[in-house]
Amino acid sequence: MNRRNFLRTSGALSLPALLSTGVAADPAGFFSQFINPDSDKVLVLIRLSGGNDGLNTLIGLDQLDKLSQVRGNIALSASDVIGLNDTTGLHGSMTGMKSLYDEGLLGAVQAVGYPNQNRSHFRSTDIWTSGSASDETETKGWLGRYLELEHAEFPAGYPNEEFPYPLAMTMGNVVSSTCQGSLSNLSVVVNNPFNFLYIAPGGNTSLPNGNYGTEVSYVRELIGQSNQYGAVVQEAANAGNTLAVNYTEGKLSDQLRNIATLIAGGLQTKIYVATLGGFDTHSEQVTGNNRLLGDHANLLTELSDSIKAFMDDLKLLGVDRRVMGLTFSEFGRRIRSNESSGSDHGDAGPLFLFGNCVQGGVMGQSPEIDTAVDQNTGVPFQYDFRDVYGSVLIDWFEVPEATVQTLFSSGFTYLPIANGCSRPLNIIVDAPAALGDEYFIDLDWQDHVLPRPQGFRLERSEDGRNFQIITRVPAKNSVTGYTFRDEKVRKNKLYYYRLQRENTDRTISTSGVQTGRLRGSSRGDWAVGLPRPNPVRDDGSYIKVYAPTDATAAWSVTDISGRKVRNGSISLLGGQDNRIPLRPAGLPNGTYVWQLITENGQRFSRKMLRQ
Amino acid sequence: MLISTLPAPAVVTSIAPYTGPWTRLQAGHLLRRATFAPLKAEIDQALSLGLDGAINKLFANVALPDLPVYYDYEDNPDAGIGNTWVDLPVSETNSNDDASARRRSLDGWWMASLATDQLTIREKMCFFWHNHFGIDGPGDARAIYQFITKYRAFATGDFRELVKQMAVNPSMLVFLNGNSNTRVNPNENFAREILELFTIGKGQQIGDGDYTNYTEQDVTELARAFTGWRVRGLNTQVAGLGPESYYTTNRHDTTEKQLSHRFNNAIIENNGENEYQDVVDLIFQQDEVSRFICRKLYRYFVYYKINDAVESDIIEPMAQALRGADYVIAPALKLLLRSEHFYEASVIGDIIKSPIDVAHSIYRPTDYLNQGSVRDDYQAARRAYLAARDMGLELRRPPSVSGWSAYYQGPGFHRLWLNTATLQTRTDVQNRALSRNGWYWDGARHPFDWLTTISRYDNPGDPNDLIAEMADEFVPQALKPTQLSALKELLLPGLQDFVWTSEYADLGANPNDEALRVSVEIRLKHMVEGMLQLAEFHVH
Repeated sequence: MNRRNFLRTSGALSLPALLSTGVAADPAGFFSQFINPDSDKVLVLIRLSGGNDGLNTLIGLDQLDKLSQVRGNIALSASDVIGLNDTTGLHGSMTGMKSLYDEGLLGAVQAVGYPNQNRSHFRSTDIWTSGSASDETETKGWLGRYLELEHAEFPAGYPNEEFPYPLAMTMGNVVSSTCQGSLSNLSVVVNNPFNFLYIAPGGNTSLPNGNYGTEVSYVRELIGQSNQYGAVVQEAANAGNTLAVNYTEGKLSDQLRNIATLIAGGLQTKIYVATLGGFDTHSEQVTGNNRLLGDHANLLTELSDSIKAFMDDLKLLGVDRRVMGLTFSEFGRRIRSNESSGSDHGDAGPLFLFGNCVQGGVMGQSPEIDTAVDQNTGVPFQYDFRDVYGSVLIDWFEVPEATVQTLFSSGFTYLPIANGCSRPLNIIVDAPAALGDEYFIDLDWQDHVLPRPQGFRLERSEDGRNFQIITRVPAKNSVTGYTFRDEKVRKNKLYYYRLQRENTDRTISTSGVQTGRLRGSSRGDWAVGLPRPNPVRDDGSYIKVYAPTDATAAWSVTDISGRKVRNGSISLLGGQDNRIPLRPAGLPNGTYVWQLITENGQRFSRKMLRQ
Repeated sequence: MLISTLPAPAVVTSIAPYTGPWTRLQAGHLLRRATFAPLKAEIDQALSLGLDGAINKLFANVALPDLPVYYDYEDNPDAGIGNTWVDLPVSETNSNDDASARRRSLDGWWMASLATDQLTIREKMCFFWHNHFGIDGPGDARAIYQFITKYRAFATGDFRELVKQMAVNPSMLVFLNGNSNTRVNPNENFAREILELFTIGKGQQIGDGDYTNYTEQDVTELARAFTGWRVRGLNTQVAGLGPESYYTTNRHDTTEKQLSHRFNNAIIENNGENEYQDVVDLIFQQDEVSRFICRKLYRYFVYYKINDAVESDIIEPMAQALRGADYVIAPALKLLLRSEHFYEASVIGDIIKSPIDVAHSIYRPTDYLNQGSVRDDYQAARRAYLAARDMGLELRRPPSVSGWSAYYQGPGFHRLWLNTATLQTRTDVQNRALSRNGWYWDGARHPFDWLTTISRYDNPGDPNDLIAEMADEFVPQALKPTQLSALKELLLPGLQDFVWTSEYADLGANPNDEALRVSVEIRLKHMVEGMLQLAEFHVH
């Protein structure tokens, strides 16, 4: 552990306290000991605002038929999908990201979400940006909390000699809640880094002649002068440059190009947040019969082409090893499309990581589509978004896992998604698919590469880092598909698998990592939402319950005097949100408590109003 | 980086009554200048009253605010929380605590009462006179209350009579040493300021001790005329007494006072305890007094630059009206606020807000001063007072007898409210209003409720209407489309309009969903933050 990490994890020590012990004589020398040699690492977050339709973004090739049954008016056909591997493909517009994938510079994580998905744009964005649970109101952002580990006093005393640049930057007009700290937001908003002095909404719009224009102009000038980061950002923008010529004309390209310019210009900012809006595709997400035309295709084109151009640019600028990117969106969309050739607010969705140090490949399984699914159902989550965040902090910013545990309220599970810098580069097989059954996990993989290998060593890990060989599978001449059934697994654990391919030249190629767990294994914690709408209505009011595993639970409704007026029991599907109708008809007006009691005695009480 | 400032176009410098359209732009402008931080409903009212109706309303008599009361001090045996102290002696046992409790109360009360919802110009004039007479009030809250009440009583009334009464006001006598101005040891302090700052103003120095409008001789002679007045009852602990001034014959200089040619070599005969009134009458015989105060009113209500056209076309007719009304302020001020010049487009929004205007621009729309109990209302009002203080205007404590430099110091005038430090404190004040906790007192957080702010609007569920209605309250002139769309992006980053509509409606259907409330309010606060970041917010 270096000194800086030591400081991070020992909360009792503060820099001033250390300084007062006598090293203040040489503050510059003192601080230099604490600077992480890798502190030039940059994280670029791309927020897909509106709720990206993940089922039309990252597509299970074996689900195409079922998808066409439940979302016939928007579903992609096989020819509309670019295959990434044998099981998964990208929307046909995403050629740029496909080429990054092929270079091992793009990773995808399937079905990221959280228990008891909230479908309000605002609320779910707040959950994603704060890294909190669905029933928690955390006002600080997850990156704000991270930055405050080292900058607890911000904004007091900032900028300063050691940190003259913004700690984080949001591109556009709206400060990102991901960087909200306890006292202020730790990111600055940069719309145009070349003209960054007067940054109020709309910028330096033209003003009329005369007294009014004169005075407003005076105030703007003064505000510009007091922009503490103005000079340093403008200097970096002017010092930087950009070399890629394949940026688009779109809004995301504009932001990413500015980020590349600022990085190239020497700005030491660690975190940039970019936004691409318009993903709230309730209608006409595809236009006409060509499924590769329409709003969603345009958005994915902009996303994919911009990220590709950005990565190309970083490489040309020689800073590609310093940058990692992560996309997120407040929710995925529902499995069934609506009648307007659109899709409504849903639950989990895929996200992407890009950069030299991501683990390439696709983590997780394509969402299994049930063709009898009802109109309201979204994609259940496979991975908790906080595990993605925490894993990025661990592998990219070298935050100790114990510290990451404290940043997020729920338990944390490490995912090897951002550890690609330490991975062998010669990946020529995909990670095995890991399908959990009740008592075993089936590992399936394909190998089309010639010459055929001598065999595969299948490795397993229980922490995502330390792998052990569990079996060796000899190569076969006539088939490309392999399977292995891992029966030495227990419930309620996440297992990590990877392959070592024994090449004929005696070298070893290593695959990416895949995870698997037994069916019915707990995933997350129980989570019970609020009645909606509340005051409750006879029709339509419901409460959402997330059960980690298949379960039966008792429920009751109690009036204000404590008298139980309704009760019953319900069966809940595990690993997903269950929508429980409340049916309050017949209850007199008043305040009630709706209570759920799980089989192991956990109780959740929610206030219910009847008016 | 900034637009070049082109020469100002010809401004209509006509005092003739404005006859153009009467829209929210003009109605809002009138109220922003005549009151502190008008709300939408008040602008609605002024709009429907029309120009003349609105002016008449602003100048009509309204009841005085409720008396200031104790809100956090329980040790005065004669008055508890919610009872006034204005007629009570300071308690004997804890006189210091009691005195400072009264000042705390007074500060909050004054700050709150400036922002009355009675649609009156009186409060803006109350502050005008506070700045004009510049009394620094560190002492007895009752004495301060007296002069505040005086300013209110004479808000747009008889200027000459106000000057007379202030000449022997207990706080003034202490402030400018009238208290120690005696026959034997005359003190010129008040005599100098009444000429230089309160009535006729110091003209150019055109000779030794000759300031065009008066001379050093006049200062000396006037000082002798003001002798004899003293103060008693300040900080008194005796029941039935309070701060008052009184005349002592043997301190008064009974000899003749010979004024200079600037006052036509007038001689002031001894007139004992009424002599100060004779002096004021004599000063007010000079027409320059009317021009002096009209210029100050002009700078306060219109703009700080006075060119020749303004001097001849605006100040002069105002001054005539003032003299015509025997120095009653209202007619001249009405003339100004009704004039074509006042509604000239380039005048609308050309004054940089004072810290009180800024504080109330935030505290009024959020209804922050109505917390629901006397104690909390005062606590909140005191926070507004502290906010203004931090931004550079400490009510009750003008930095000098000249008042605040923004009202007299050229060439910057109102611009002097702003520098990089006070801009930062303005940002701090805004940030606090947008923070989750607002202010803390009595162990509880007291956030600003921006959802209540927008619930007053006609159509808060429509993001375009919401922003337009808020801009109508927060900035003086229409914003540019790029500004409006940038504000909307703050409310709805990457989202379409209907998302706000549906989320706002969803909150309406689930009023107890605290998490949703927080989420909706965060978006709103982002937008408000953008609104407050606009340079346009700082002018009115």
